Amino acid sequence: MRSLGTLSDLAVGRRLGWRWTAIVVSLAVIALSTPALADPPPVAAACVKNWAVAKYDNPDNSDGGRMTWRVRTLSATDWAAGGFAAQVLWAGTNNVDELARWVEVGVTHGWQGQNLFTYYSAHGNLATGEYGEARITAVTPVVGNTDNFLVNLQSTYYGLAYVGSVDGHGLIWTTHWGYSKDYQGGLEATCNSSRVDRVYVQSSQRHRSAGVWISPSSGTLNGFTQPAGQPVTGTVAWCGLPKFRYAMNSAIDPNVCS
Amino acid sequence: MSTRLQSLGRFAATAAAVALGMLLAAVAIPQLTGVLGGGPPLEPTVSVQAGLTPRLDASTVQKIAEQHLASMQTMAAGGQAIAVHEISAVGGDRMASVEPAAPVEADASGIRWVVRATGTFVGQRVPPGNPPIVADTGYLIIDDATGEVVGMGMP
Repeated sequence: MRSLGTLSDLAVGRRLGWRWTAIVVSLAVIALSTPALADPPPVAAACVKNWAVAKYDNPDNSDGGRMTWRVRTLSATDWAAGGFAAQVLWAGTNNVDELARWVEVGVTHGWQGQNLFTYYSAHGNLATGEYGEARITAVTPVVGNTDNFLVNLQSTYYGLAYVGSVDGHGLIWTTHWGYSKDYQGGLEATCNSSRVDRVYVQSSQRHRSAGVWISPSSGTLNGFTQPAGQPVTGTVAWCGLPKFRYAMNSAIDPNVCS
Repeated sequence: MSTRLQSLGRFAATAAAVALGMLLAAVAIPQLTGVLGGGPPLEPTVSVQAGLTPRLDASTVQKIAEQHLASMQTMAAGGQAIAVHEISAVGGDRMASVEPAAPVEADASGIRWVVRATGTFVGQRVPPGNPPIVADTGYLIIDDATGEVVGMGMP
């Protein structure tokens, strides 16, 4: 068997040629000194996104919806990975059905990878990929307080997303107008291990354009999960339609309408 | 002995030359790509709404934005290179004048920095049943008073 030799007698250099050996050695040094790319980012791979919502179709031209509920304890287990657990009101905009264009307002634990408990609003257009979200920083949510949440379209101008009343705190999204064909409320959590204590929605109304606030007489309950076959941990039930309750890993009795 | 020393010297010189060349290429290629390829400017443009006196300066805002973009990139396991292109200081009720889709704060009382950038933007707050919205361009909103990122949007 031939000896591999040692570096001291430049055996490798003799076999490969010293130029090639130098190139190989320098490449190895650079490769070893380059920061490792193999560290995986903190993705919440084990999480399953959950929703549990009550949805109302607006049979005539409406310009928004509003709901009243108590702010409950929210705890997102995946907030550091960009996840959240939230109480949310969504309203469709721009005469588009099934919330393909929407404005939402709510309260969330977890915001943009930060351990925050905050009011927020978001908007989007599924067809174009337009999207935005922002904190409502003028007011801070308090667990136990009862809040009014409102999304209201103002003719051809903009969509309001308010906590409080029309004179409350909130944001105006200027690319939303027209009619609202549906609205819905409930929980949204990016991880099924997160906690949303039971929320009772004591009032749910849509606003008929240039008209009055109306309590819908029909609606649908939906619990969602992804991917199929994963457990649904968010639950939703009527408390005398249109009132309803929802919960997820609740630390208080989830089956009470209060 | 002298032959060995000569070989060792050539070995070391070649290794050093190759390493130096690769390091120079690593630095120069992204710069040339940006210039020759019509890419974004290396320094962001900065504007401040008339009458405003922000607490933060643009370089601080750029660092805050870059840190947040890096965080978003990590959270989304995205690969889009991060670059800040435009930095604008406006009142909270004037953000849509910079970014048409940005919100108007109904009770705005402070200064907001609107930062347009490339990076990995992910919108997870979508109506039930829909996947996240992802884009490689977007904007951030930074509160001048606190330095916190308080909003984002895309594309």
